[in-house]
Amino acid sequence: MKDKMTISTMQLMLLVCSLLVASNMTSLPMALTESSRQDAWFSFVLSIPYGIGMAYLFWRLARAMPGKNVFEMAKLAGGKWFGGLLNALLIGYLALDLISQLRLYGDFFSASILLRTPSEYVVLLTVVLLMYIATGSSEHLARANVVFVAVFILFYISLPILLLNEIDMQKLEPILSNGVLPPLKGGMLAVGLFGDLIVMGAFLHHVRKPRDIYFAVKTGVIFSAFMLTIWLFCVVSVLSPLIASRMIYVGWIVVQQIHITDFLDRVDLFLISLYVPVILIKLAILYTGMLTGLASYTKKKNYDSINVLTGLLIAMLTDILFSNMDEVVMFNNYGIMTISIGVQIVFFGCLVIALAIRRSSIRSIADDKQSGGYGTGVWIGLIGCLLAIGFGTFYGSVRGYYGIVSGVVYACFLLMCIYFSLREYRQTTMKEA
Amino acid sequence: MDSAYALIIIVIVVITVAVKRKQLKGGANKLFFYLLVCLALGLLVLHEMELEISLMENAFIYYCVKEIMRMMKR
Repeated sequence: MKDKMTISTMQLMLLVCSLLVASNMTSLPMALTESSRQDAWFSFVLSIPYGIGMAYLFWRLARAMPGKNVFEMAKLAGGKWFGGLLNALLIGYLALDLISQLRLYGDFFSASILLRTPSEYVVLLTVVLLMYIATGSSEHLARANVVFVAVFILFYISLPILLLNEIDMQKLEPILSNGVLPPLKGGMLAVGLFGDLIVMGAFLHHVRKPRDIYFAVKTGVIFSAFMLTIWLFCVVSVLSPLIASRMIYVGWIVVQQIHITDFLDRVDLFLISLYVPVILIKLAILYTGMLTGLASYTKKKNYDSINVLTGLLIAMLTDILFSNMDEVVMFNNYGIMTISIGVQIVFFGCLVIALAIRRSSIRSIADDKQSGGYGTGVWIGLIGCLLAIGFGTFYGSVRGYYGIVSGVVYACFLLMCIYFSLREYRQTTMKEA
Repeated sequence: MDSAYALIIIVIVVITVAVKRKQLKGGANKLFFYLLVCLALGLLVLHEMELEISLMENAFIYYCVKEIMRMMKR
């Protein structure tokens, strides 16, 4: 573990994409189609302002205490004991999140790919891999991520084209005819599942400028929401909301529907081989974040000596804490949301209060957050998305045509949001160069 | 009881202790390290006894999940 390594803005943005996209593709569509039915693809608009809020919080914290991660910030602001207690809370949440994600991944492998391998061995082997990744630096992880996630994004964004012969637009109708509640319920679930974002706080000290953290996290969140919207659109239009709401690993079934002539009948195997490294990177981010937190209790801030033992504890807890697959899926879809929101409110609330009390003794830096007019474009896009949903929920039940119009307008505004966030990000990186 | 799984864990723990034992500096580091060793071995015993401390049986998590599911499916 070399702590002096730095992560570029692009690497951080792609780390956010890996963190939010891969794991939410597996079982989240089931929960979203269960609560929002055919309107599940509107669910991610609420998670964008939440993600931007988190990016803003990270930026403000990094500006107040440059070169520190959230664990060090908690100790600096809250003192040894109170800061240590806050860190224990965050480490506990990260461990719980990692355990549930690992179990979901292990069960998925045992049920779908390695049918004769017990889940506990899949988990153990994965944990050994995580231990190996943790022996390197965060920059190595970020570099590996750039290679995999770029190809992953490229293929998964082209899914509507690959699935063109399977997409049935009628399965999406009637659009927004059931009122405002279905997209709102889906939105709440999506916000809870974007709670993983808190782990990026463990990597704040690797980023050179606080301003870069804001733009990287913001663009990463918007791009992830866009990718997940495409994914949900494919799930609903290919499988129908009813089938999707009754399948645990619905993502695997969707990619199996790709049939591009008889020669390219098993494209799913190629796509799953791209999916696995990205989900491993997500697990590695959670694991490294957790180890960084544990290392904050030692003087040298080095987690080399505790890496293997922590990994073994995680592997065994993964087997012990869940009885069956249903429990894991329920916990992942509904249970972790409450814990995630609770931990974030307590952790950041206490951190901000402690920071305000000790403001005079902490050295902060001045940093501008200039983004030109592109930042405004992002907000206009977001407001447009919300207005499109609002229009659809009021008039979608009157005539089906209005629902279709609101769906098209929503897609246009979401694309506008992506465009402006990428322009804003590009402007920041150009300034740096 | 899965003896192969237990054997793998014990071998990894023994190798880790043998390799890292001399690299540990400071009392806090040593305490932390050996605490983790004890925890790993204790958990292994529980694992081999096929004990299941189901998270979903925790009253707080159970009621949260139940209420959220009820709200979402309404």
